[in-house]
Formats: sequence, structure tokens, C-alpha cells
Amino acid sequence: MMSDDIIPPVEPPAPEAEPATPPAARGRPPLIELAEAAGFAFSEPTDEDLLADHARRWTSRAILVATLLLAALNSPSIQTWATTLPPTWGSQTIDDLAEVWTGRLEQLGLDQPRTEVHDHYQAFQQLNWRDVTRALRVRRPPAGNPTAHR
Amino acid sequence: MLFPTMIFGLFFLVTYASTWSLNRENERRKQFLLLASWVFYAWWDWRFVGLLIASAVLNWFVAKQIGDSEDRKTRHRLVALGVVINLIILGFFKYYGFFVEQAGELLKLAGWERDLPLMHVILPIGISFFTFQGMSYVIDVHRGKCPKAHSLLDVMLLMSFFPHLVAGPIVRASDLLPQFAKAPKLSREMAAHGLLLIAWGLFKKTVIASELASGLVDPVFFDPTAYGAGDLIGAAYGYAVQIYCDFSAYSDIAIGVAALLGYRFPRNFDQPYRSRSLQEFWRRWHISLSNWLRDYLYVPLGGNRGGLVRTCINLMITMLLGGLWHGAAWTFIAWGAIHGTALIIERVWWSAIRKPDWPRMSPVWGVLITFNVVCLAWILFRSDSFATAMAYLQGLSRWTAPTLLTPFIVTLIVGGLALHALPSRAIERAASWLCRIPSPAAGLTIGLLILLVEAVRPAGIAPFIYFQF
Repeated sequence: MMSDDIIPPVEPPAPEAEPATPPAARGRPPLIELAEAAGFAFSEPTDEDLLADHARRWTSRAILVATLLLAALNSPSIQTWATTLPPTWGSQTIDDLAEVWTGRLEQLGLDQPRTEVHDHYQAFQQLNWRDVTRALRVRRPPAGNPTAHR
Repeated sequence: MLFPTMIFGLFFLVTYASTWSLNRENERRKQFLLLASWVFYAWWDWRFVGLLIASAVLNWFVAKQIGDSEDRKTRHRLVALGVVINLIILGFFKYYGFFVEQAGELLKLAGWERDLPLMHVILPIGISFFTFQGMSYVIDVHRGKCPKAHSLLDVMLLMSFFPHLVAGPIVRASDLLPQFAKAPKLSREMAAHGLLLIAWGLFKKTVIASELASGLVDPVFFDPTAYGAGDLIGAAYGYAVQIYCDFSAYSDIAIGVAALLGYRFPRNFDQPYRSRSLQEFWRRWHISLSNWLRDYLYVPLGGNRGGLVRTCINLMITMLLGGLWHGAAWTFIAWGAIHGTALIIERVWWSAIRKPDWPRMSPVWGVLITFNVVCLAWILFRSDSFATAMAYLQGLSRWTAPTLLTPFIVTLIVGGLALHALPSRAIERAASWLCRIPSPAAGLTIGLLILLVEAVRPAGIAPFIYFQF
């Protein structure tokens, strides 16, 4: 017993950690192998590369979301652009597609936010000084009747 | 291909995706960017891509010879050759018609009227920018400020890189060549800053500059005699806002696009209308050109090292040539002369007249005086001839009720000037917030900002003012 207390039981040696598979020995994606065969050179990424890759993915996703949002909510601009293209088979195709795309999104009401902003902005553009003075007068309460504007 | 157009948007998306997919192959990435830059330039006129290539080859060759040569005299000769070649290219395409016309006038005055060989030379867009860039590369290699480029590809890309190709900023070789040496790394701060700069630039160009141009500035400068003092004063201030919003928008979009591709361009504008002196104005307006003129013209002329009179002469020469750089017309030279004179007055005031114990003027007065001198000079800059400018100035004493200064136009002018009261580095601060949020939220923010701009912008967009320079 005592000896058992003093001398710890002999434990089997811990299995040696398996050496990490060298990067070069790992299976490389077929696309990279194909690219290497075409003469492109690739090296293993460092931590700095991984950070930069992460930032690039963040940027690409942000650009993608912004592009999709604009394609959905800004379809009139796509159609306006399509109509300005010189008349060719390609531009006519783009024009037709843009028309269908804009029509579908209008049915869904997705053109509304842009139209609302546009209409308000145009109303502001049309204002003259008389309108501004009138608007200011309406807001100002008449003298002696401070509750009249309510 | 104009920045605020759908076709540029598509071009950029393709370029962005392709360049980053080639990120681990820097040489191929650069080759692709060069091809994309040529496509961008060829969209305007494919014939001048050859000029761009020839100019890059010449500058690369001269700089290589300078770098390889040990003999001081040979290096001097080579740098002179490089500068002369660039000046000949610029001179032929930009100033040939102007100089022949002036020579004809001189001969007429001398009684030797002749039919001089007038040619209608098309001005390639951006020629002033890429020749200045080529010249600075050759001079910097000669001065040892920048090593010669590793390859012709680097020099070609330096001069043709599409974000700065047609209207700057004039990016020095010492800034850009080291960035070309290895594949760029994008950071979230850089990307957020780039995205915000693009949205901000679109707003300034398509909303403020375009509306002011069509609603006020263009009609008034077309026929100043048809308007009274109110409209004329409004149009002078309106043009000050328009040209700032137009040109700084181009620079912002260029810096933003380059940032999204992984390259850093220097700042080109820093709220110029809050300057308290003309000297400060030139440190805040078109910074890359001011620095270029300082380093390659003013300092080689002697700068401020030869006493007050010599300094004043150097200032005037620099500003006159700076004016001529903007266009082949006497109005641009006169614009440079006004700035030169104002800078000389400031210099003489500070170094010879003003006593140290005199009370200091309030900075507000400095800002007001500087802004109005700049606006006065803009009248010459914008007028198509001296006759128009004189008619404009005479009209300032003809008071009639303004007809074009609607609440909308006044809001644009005041708003454009109010941009100068924003905290400095406001975009950088906004970018440091944007880069911390998740990418979908960042995309939605940028998308909504651009949507707002798209909803209020006019249908067609005029080219940027600085395209013609």
C-alpha cells in the first residue's frame, strides 16, 4: 500500500502527438492544383493573410448586399440606363429585361421608397420664396392668440 | 466612362471581383488592372490608349537609364530629356492651338499676317494628370527620392491606373510603386472608408454640383448680361460650391475605388473654403497639384531662399504656370495671376509690413476675405473669355431682383458651404464606426445612402469639370 502511495503507478507513456500534416502534404483543392498547372503560384497563408482575407470577405459581402438592395429598390435607374444605350441586339435585350424587372418590382411595391423620396425632393425643388414665407407664417402664432396655431 | 454611371458600376464590380481573385498572383493582378485601366480609358477614345502606353514606355526608359547611369552629367541630361518629352506631349495636345493662335495675333500686330497651320487637335482626357505623373517619376528617380520601377508594368500601371487616370489625384511614384511591389492587403477600416467616400462623392457630384450647374451657374455664365447683381453674386458663390463638390467628389470616388482595390491614395481636398489665407487655401485645395507645383517648380526656382523679391517672383511664376496647366486660355492665366498676386500681398504683409505688436485679425475675417478673393478668381476661371468675365463683373453693379436664386438653389449653396463646418476627418470617424458592424448591416447602410442619392439626382450627369484639364 505504502509503496503504492510513494511510487506512483507506472502510467503508460502518453502517445506522442501526431506531427501536424505538413501543409504541402495536405490534399490541395482541385481548383488550386489546376491553377498551379496553369502557371499560377500559391503559398500557404500567414496570419496576416487570414486577417486580410477576412476583411475582404466582409467587404465583398457588404458590396453584394448594397448591390442587391439597389437592384431591388432602384430599378427605375436600371431601366433609365438601359434606354440610353445605343440600339443593338444586346442593348435591346438589356432594355427588355430591365423593363420586366422594373415591372415586377413595381407590382411588389418596391419602387415606393424611391418614388416617395423623389416626389418630396421635387416638391422642394419647385418651392419659391412666397411658399416659404407662407409656410413660415402658418407656423408662427398670430399675436395675442398663442393657441391659434393648435 | 464616368464614375456616377451604371456602366462604371458594372465595370467596377467585375474589376473588384477579378482583381481580388488574382490576389495571390501579384503580377497577374497588376496585368489585369492595367488591362482594365486601358478599357476604362478606351471607353472615351481607344486611339489615345496608344498615347498612354507610349508615354509610359518613354518615362520608364528614361528613368531606367537614369537609374543605371553613374555619371552625374548624363543623369542631368536624361532627366532634362524626360521632362522635355513630357512637356512636348502636353504642349502638342493641349497648347498647340493656343500658341499658334497667339503667334498669329503677334504676327498680325507686327504687320506680317500669315495663315499659320492650325490643326484641330483633340485633347486627350487626363493628359495633364498623366504627364505630370510621368514627369514626377523621372525627376524623383533622378533625385534619388524613388528607386526606378522593377518593371515596365509598374510604370504603366502607375500612369494608367484607372481611379486617378483622368482627373487625379496626382499620385507620386514614391507613394504607389511600393504598393505595387506586393499584393495589397485590405483592411475593414480601409474598405469602410472607401465605401463611404464613394457614397459621399456621388452625393456631392450628382446632387449638389449637377443641380447648381444646371439651375444657376451654366445659364448665368452663358449670358451674364441677362442677369442682375443678385443672380451674378449667387452664381459666383454657386460656382465656388459647384467646382468644390465636383472635383472633390471625383477625388473622393477615386480614393474610395482605389481603397476597395487595396491601394492608398493621398488626400486631395481638406475643406478648402475654411482657409484663413490664400497660402492655407493652397494647402487644402487640390493638394496633390499644389505639392507637385511646390516640389517640381517653386522649390527648383529657388523657393523662398533668395529674399522677398525673388520669393514673390517665384510665387507669381508658379501660379501663372499653375493657371496655364488648367487650360490653354488667357482666362486661366489671369486666374493664376490673381492667386499669385494675392499670395504675394500676403507674403509682403507678413514679412515686411505687419509689425509683431499689431493686434491679430479675427480668423473669421481671414476666412471671409480669402473666400471672396477665391470666388472673384473663379469668375475668370469659369468664363469662356475675358469679354464674358468683364460683362460679369460689370453686371455686379446692376441690381435687379434675383430670378434663379430659388430656396432650393440657396439651400444647395449654403449646404455646400456648410460642408466646410463639418468636423475634420468626419468620413474617417464614420468609417471607424461602419467597419465595426456586421457586413450585411454595412452593405444596407451603404446601399441606402446610395439609394437616397439615386432618388434625388437628375437623370443625366455632366462630365466632371476637371476632365477637360
